[in-house]
Amino acid sequence: MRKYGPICIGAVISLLFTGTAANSQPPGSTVLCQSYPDSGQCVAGDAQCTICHTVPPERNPFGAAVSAELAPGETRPLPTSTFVAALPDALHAVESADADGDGVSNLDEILAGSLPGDPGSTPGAAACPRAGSNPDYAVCAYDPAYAFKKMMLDFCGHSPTWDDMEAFRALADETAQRQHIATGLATCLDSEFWLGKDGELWRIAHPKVRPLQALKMGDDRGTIPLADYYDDYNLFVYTQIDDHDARDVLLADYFVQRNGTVYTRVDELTGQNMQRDRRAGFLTTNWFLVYNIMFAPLPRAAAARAYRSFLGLDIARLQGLDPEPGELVDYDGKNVTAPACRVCHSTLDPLSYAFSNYNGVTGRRPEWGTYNPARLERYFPDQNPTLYEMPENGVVLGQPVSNLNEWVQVAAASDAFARTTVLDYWRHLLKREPLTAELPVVASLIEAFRGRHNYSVEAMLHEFVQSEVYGAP
Amino acid sequence: MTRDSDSTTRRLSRRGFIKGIVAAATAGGVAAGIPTLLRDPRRARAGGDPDRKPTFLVVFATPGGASIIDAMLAIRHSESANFERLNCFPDEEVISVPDSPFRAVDLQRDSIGPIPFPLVTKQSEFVARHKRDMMVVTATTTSLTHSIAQKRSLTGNNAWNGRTLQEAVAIEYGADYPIANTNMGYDGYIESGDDPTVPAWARNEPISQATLWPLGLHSSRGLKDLPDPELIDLARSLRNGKLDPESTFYRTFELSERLQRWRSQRGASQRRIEANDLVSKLNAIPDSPDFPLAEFGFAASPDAARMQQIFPDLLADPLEAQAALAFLLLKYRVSVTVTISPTFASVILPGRQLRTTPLAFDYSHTAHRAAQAAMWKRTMGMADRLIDLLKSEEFEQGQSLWDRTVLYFATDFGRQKQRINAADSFSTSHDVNNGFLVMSPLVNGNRVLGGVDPNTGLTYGFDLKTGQPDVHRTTQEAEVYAGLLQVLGVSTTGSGLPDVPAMRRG
Amino acid sequence: MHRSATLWIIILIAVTFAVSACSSGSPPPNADPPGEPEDIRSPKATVQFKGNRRLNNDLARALGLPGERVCTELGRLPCTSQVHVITLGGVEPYRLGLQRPLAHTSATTPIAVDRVVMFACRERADEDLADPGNALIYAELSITGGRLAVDEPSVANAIDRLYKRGLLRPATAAEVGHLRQLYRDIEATDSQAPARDWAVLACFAVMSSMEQLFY
Repeated sequence: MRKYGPICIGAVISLLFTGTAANSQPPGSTVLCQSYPDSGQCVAGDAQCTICHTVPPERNPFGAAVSAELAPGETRPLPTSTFVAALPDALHAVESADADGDGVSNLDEILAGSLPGDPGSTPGAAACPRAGSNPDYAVCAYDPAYAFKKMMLDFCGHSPTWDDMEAFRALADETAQRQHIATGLATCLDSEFWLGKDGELWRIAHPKVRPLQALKMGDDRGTIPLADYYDDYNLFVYTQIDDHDARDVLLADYFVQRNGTVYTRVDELTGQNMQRDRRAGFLTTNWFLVYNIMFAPLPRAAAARAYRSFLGLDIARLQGLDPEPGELVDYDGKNVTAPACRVCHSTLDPLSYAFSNYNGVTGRRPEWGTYNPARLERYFPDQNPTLYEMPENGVVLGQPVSNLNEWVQVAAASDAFARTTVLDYWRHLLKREPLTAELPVVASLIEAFRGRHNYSVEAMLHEFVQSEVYGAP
Repeated sequence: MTRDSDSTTRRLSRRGFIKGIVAAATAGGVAAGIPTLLRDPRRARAGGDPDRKPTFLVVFATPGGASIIDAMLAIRHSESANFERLNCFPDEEVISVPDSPFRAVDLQRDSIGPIPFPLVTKQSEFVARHKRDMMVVTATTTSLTHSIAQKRSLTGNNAWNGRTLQEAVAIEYGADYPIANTNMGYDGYIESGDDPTVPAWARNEPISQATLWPLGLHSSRGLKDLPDPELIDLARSLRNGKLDPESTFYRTFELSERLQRWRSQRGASQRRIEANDLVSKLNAIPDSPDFPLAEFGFAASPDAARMQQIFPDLLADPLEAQAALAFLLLKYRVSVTVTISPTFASVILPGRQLRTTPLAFDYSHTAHRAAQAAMWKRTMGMADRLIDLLKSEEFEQGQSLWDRTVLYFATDFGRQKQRINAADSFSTSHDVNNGFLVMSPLVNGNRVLGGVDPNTGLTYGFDLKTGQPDVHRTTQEAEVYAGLLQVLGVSTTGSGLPDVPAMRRG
Repeated sequence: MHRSATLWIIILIAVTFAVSACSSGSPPPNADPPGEPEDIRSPKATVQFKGNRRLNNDLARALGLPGERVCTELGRLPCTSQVHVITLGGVEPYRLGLQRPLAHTSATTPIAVDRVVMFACRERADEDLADPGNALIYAELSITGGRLAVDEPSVANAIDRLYKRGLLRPATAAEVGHLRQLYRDIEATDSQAPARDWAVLACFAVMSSMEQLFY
């Protein structure tokens, strides 16, 4: 038994540095958006922690003002239930004030999407030049020639030629030009630059795959070949092209082979060991399991990576925290129930249970990357008995799930998945976050992606390229 | 701030300037708000006091998990009631360094796990030599995932708004340095911090190949049959002074932070790099058929011969090349902070020389004892040479570069403490309990801050003010981070970071 | 051009504000004093650096070079895909763990860009001047003893081809004038081959412009 006090894996909050018992409450973001659903902060998801905090739990001026109005007289730290109940009134109490002294009221800042606790963040006022004043660009309006060139660079990897531009400008009208852009995009979406090996789709995939050449199997083999991450890239790309359903990145029970720029779906693949009825797309490839689970009995890293890569929620930054009511059990003896640890682990651990029967690199090689309902007993004998009480059912996005198959169903159907997919391309193509004024556009793209585009990334890109966000200089 | 003298056509009015700021608030890539570059300067000190002498930071990353109980806090069999189940060493392999709390592991093995290369390591030589400038800080970290843990070792787990140690040092001292923060790290160690207020010039300049990178520090040197440099300058002046500012493209997108940054970077910044002849000064590789430097007009560094003597394998061993470049970057006042690191790729040289084990320290998953011994040998050997170089180079007025340098051995985490049946070959997984080695004349040298329980292998902490061991506490990442910054003389006022005088000398 | 004292004071105040607030060295944005050209600026001004692959592709296409001939170091090492890959906005996820490109251009990016463009322009200029009948850009130039008849229409045509191939638009009269003046400035030095030097450098000036590098 340790002598040194609680040690918590994944703790991001410490009370050591605060003179007061400051605490950050992850549900705050959710409650704020419930109070102000039209806030610019909430249009594309939960509000940022930085509305109230600098580095949590430290509060900025707005956070301090809200805290002063929050359940006065109650003992700190507040229980989550008290916090959630009292926060709306506290927010309303400070609406008319200007916490950061930037001349804009707290309410106006929240609605506009700027940060009420940061004097450097104010609602911006766009100033477009007089229509027609720019000789070469239709500033603040969709400019087909600008969009055409941009599309070619983004998706084909090169500019059009002068002759291409002349032909474009000679088209009858904007409708014809937009159609030409759509046709060009369709061609570029099949280009080596876009979907070939180390192409743009591979670039989007890199942070999700996190390759490590030293451990690679197959082509470009490493010194300790454990698994082949090219299979992961191939699966990812397949789900992002043509009219394929992007949700298959989580739901696929198949694999994908690549030959040049041709990606082909296959039911079985050498080097992939997962039983078909236990497959969950990207999350159960050999590489994902080998690299993210490895030897861990409770695969928190795998769950956190899935949460971050496909739902856009980074627990290390207090995103997506949705503490489960009820008792958090410390199945693997990591002291996750300590107060400083519980903030994250009350979400992270239930998120991880569904991964616990998926094998990383324990046991013999043919057992790597397989599902085993007795994994803990088989590969982790002689541990604390509570480990074997760990359930397979858990929680994702507030919904109970029985296993990983259900986990990915919930995830794939979620707002978070659609939002993350759309924003992945937004960031890739525009190299920036959405501006406040663009958040409704993001919401519209997300809605269309889930609705009329039926989760087709290419259909979403066609719409995006035709939008003013993309095509207006 | 240096004003770009090429901006001969810029005109300013107050109304337009404010209009530009407001417009830039929506153009700057920040969801509503004044662009990063124009934020409250107290949040990102630009350059500090120009008269203040820098303290240099060298981050020597040790990816994979460098276990402190396989080095300076090693435990002997005879000291542990649980030696058969604990990562302990035969007594004769743990050397107590005279007049020092440090231990050292000296051992020989016929193989490095399944790798049939012999291994001989004598940590005692290094520790005895450098003990006065060595400090071990015990710590318990928070992540067992390599890349996350690596980054947390540099940010103190987001202790100061997400800025890395290197960025903090660059902000404090590096405003007048051509490339304040250079980074040859790997994975999480090469990531930039997350503090949006850190100015672009203080962020990492990543270097993927230390041997070739210096060749890209001049826009024309090394390219054959070009017009004379004076003529190239004519073309640049035309481009910068007329073609660009007069173009409709520029006039349309002028408010772009990216374009303004580009103007600054290709102006004074580029001129300074080229004028300082860094393409030569930092070029330590020898001329060869593979690298026909002379044929292409590249000149060697005045230190090239010396670098090749001290790092004879710098063409084949990336870490040697990094160490050579790190020294040159500090010597020629290019950077105030440099990061070097092996990667997870194994490095094997002819003659069965295993320099880096596969997965570096993480090879401990396969063969803990040998992996740790091999990689600590690698680390100490490289540090020894680098320190000697820094000691040999004067900073000013009799003070050496080493006198003003902090060498921080960042690592992901520790390793599992257990083994079975006193095995010599065993595998370990990750463990958050560990310690960090820091070396500098500025640290509380010849000191272990905290200690280790010989019956569990777990380290324990210390009183942050007095340095007295405290078995009831462990050191947090943020405390190590704070202490390092304070050793470096970086002002942490307003950051909320704790004061850790125990880490400072005197 | 004269500036009023008032304007200088405003400039001084604005620069002081920028110095205190702007830690990167970027100059403050322009504005329009009375009588100056109309403000045509985009408020959101979204542009991005082309990056290593697009830059190589565009230089290859604009200058009629195979991709692998755009730039090499030491006679064999590819500039944009190897030597300068990171500084030009590439990634190296497999061995270095650099999963994402740099968020911004770095201190050494302009230097790398200059090298790449200079190399490619030298290739094109030398090829055109060696084989004028098949020249892509520098065709029909009147060159005698290494000197160019800069006022001839062929020069304006060459500049126009450079702009159309590189920037997808005709050169303006001002731009033609500037590039003609560049030749005169070169000729006024002790250059032994001013026509050739001009061909390389005119290409360099245009192809390393912001309009070429960003989109």
